[in-house]
Amino acid sequence: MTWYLRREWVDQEDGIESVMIHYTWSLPEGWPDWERNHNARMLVDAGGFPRRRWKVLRMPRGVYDEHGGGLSLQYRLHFFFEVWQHGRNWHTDLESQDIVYRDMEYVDHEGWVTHLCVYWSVYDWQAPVYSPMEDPRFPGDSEFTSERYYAYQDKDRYSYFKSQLLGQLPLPHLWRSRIWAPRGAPVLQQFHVGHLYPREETFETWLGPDGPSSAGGGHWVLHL
Amino acid sequence: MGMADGVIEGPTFALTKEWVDPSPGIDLVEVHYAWGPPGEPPDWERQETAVATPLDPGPPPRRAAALELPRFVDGATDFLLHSFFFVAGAGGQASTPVITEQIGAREVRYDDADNRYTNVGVVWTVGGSRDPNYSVAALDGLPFSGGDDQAVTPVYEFVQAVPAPHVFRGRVWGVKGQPVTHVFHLVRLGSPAGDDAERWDDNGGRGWPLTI
Repeated sequence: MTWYLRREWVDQEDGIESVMIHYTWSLPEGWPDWERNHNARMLVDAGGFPRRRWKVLRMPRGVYDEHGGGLSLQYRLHFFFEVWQHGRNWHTDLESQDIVYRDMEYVDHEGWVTHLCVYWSVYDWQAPVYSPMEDPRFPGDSEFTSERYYAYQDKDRYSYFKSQLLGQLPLPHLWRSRIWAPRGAPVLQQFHVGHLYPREETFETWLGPDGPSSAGGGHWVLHL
Repeated sequence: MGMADGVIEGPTFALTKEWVDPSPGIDLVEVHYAWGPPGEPPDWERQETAVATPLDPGPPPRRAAALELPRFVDGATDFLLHSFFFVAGAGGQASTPVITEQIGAREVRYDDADNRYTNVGVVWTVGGSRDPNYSVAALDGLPFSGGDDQAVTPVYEFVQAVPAPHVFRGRVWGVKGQPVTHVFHLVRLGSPAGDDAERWDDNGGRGWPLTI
């Protein structure tokens, strides 16, 4: 699974017909290599005055160091805008942002939780990500991993076996997942906590700093 | 420079999935999707996800998620898109049945009878999506007309060397049997006479409809 980053443009002058964002990635401290990797997306015209345009970019989990360093979870996003205005095109200056990550953890001392996700979004709630969490001790080859829950049609069966397998793990249960963002950017974040077995006890909530809330309601604001 | 993990290599396109809340109290709707060659079942180990965000509050509330799809799977423009919605709230969690759709491409053509333009692009949207996509249309007889993920390249002299009439061909992608709307982005760039220009051939603002 990947994550999403919304980029916006606000027209500062008249006569702009369209705007494209060009972007690529590099290792931290690296420079863009447009010959190797060049992505371009046309922005959605949202109208208004001044006219606003936006695009949600799908972002990688990391960038491979091809000189033997493996996958770097931190990397750099490089981008510029190509603007068509009055029949001509011009480019903005290249901008670069460090993309950093944080490993999130939710500690369940009682073993009550059967389903848990991080619900998060960079800057605002317009490009949210719903990331399943897992205790790293939970077997990755099990059909009951958190990632496999969604395509599992018999949710009751899944929840039963998930709760049974979780019950075999010593407490506390340490649910983990990972989030990314441009360094220093605000990340809005909640936990979606579920107790889905047994069925008569089913309970779920969206947890923020002030306790239970709704999706996109009370949330923490993190800066990575 | 390194290759990125978890994103599609090469050009992509956006396809929007819409959802209408069937009852009050729904907290989250997320599209799960996977693509693969024709004849093969979905591989959910390689699924992608996109949270559907509110389009309007309703009632009933409508939500939309933009899926990012490759333009080629194993080198082919025809492939399968498998998707379902995961819905949380309103007293439970559920996944809808999997829907499989055929993705395909169609060629679109722009005839530049006056040999006026050096670069032609195709801007297109799938179904009712607001997310525009961009394809570079290649000029017959000019093998390097630019890639879909590149800025417009100055090729004025090369275009002039191509015998008239000039025919530009591009491709649009979508769901087979469903509509795609496209417009042509017409560019004259690098003219020594200083008469560079840009205009849109957009059927009076309505776009040109076609069915994949």
